[in-house]
Amino acid sequence: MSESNKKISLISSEGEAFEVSEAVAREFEIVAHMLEDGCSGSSIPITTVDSNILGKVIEYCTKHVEVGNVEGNSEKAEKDLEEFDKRFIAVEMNTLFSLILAANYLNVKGLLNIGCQKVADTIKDMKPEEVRSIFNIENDYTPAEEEVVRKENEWAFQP
Amino acid sequence: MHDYSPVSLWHNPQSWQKYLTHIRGSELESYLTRVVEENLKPQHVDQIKKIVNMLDEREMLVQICAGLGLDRRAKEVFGGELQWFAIAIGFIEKAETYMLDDSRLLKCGEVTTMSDLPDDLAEEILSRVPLTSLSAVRSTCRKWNDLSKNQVFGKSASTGRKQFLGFMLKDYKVCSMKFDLQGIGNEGDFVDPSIKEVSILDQVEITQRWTIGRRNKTEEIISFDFTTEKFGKRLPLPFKTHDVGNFVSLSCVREEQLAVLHQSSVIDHTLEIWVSSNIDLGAVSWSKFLRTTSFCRVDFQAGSFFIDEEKKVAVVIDLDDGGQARTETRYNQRANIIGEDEYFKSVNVGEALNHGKRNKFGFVLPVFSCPLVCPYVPSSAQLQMQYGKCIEGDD
Repeated sequence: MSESNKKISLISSEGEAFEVSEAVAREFEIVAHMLEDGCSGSSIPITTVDSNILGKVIEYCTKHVEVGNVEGNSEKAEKDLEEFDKRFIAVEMNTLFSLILAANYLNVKGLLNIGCQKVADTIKDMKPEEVRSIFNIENDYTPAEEEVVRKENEWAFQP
Repeated sequence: MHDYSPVSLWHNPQSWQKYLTHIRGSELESYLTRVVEENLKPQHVDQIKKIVNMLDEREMLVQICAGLGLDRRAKEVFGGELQWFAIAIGFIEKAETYMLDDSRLLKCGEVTTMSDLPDDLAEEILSRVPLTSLSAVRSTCRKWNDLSKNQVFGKSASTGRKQFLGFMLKDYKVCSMKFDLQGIGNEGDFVDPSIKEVSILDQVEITQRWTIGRRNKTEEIISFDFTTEKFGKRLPLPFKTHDVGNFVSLSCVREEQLAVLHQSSVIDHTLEIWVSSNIDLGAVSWSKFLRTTSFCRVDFQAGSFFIDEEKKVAVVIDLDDGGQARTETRYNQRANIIGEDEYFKSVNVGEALNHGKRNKFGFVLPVFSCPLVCPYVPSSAQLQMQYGKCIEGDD
């Protein structure tokens, strides 16, 4: 198929062009829809995502397309992909949020999934104070209100 | 222009003095002196929205908000966004000094915190936090509390949980319940039940429920669909029942299967538990989970149960059937743990209240509140509440 060899340029918010195969670009559902709707231009501007994050999303999609293309998807390949995801998502919090936002905008479901899960796992074992400091959240409860909320939710067991 | 950015002021206290000298005599000086001396951080978040109503420059505000990536109505923003909004208002006013408190302005447009994510994404993330951390999530801030309200029964809320989590009706109060069954079968094993009263349980959505009926001397199960309010097909149970003295109770396993407990008080008190391996509205197949002849007589008034597939254990909650523990006014609720090879252990889970009233002869007739256990089912799409009942007679 000649289609699969087609190259597409994705343009970051800074104007930097990333050349990828059509298969990789199609991993971005938003791009896939554009292509199906006949927007067949060879360069697609992704104005809300910067080069750093776009590069990472492309890295993720490229890996997943590669593994998906291997004949007779073995268990080992799946394990490797899991390992890759794990390493890929082990980034600083602000990068992680940028990745989630980009994955949401570009509609890359797999990446959105592991991104959200990663944040949830981070929250899981934390005290409210720790969560606030890590996520830069302002405590808008009065001490009395906070006590009420804490009491109300005591039934959810502490780990 | 001088660089009086917070960073340089922080690292260089002299510059702070210099700055105060710079603005001597102004209204700002007295204000800032108060801030420094009383160590007070002005934060009248509630005032911001009032100020908006007094502004004439709405159009300009819209422009500035768009520049900051704020596209929602003023009354809908909070947290970090509200802070940005406040900054936008500040910029509209012509002033000599702008005091801004937001480090993120340095990297305008970049996401650095969770509050910058749209609500649906934040909600998606919070829904993945396990139930056990719910308290921490809700105590973090108002927004998270709101966002997590619908997530108690989120699909992923219970993944990775090792202990049994469920709800229990105890003395007519809904309690959450945790049983640590890890030590079962080991020497000196111990079971650590933890039961706490729950104040909110308005988040359950029941779409389907199974119950037991008796027809033509045979016990059957029947489903009731809450969305269509119709009964489903009658399905057979895996055992034969006698005319009298049958005790049958239902429970659920994981999200989709049922477990049924049967004990006959007529012959030998053999207790059997079966688990459905394939159940839908039209058919069912059962496989035996446990069978025990140990001395365990399930109290007919209670006897709800749950099973732990991995450990091959069943826990039957009922009222203590006698002995020292049972008096006119005292009656214990117990958890009977039944396992393979006639494993049996009974744990007291607290006293049952006697709701009986003294009659005219001076006796208190025992009317005890029966404990009822409900295995926690994570999916709100199809929640099968367990229901235990002994039905006598034909219909």
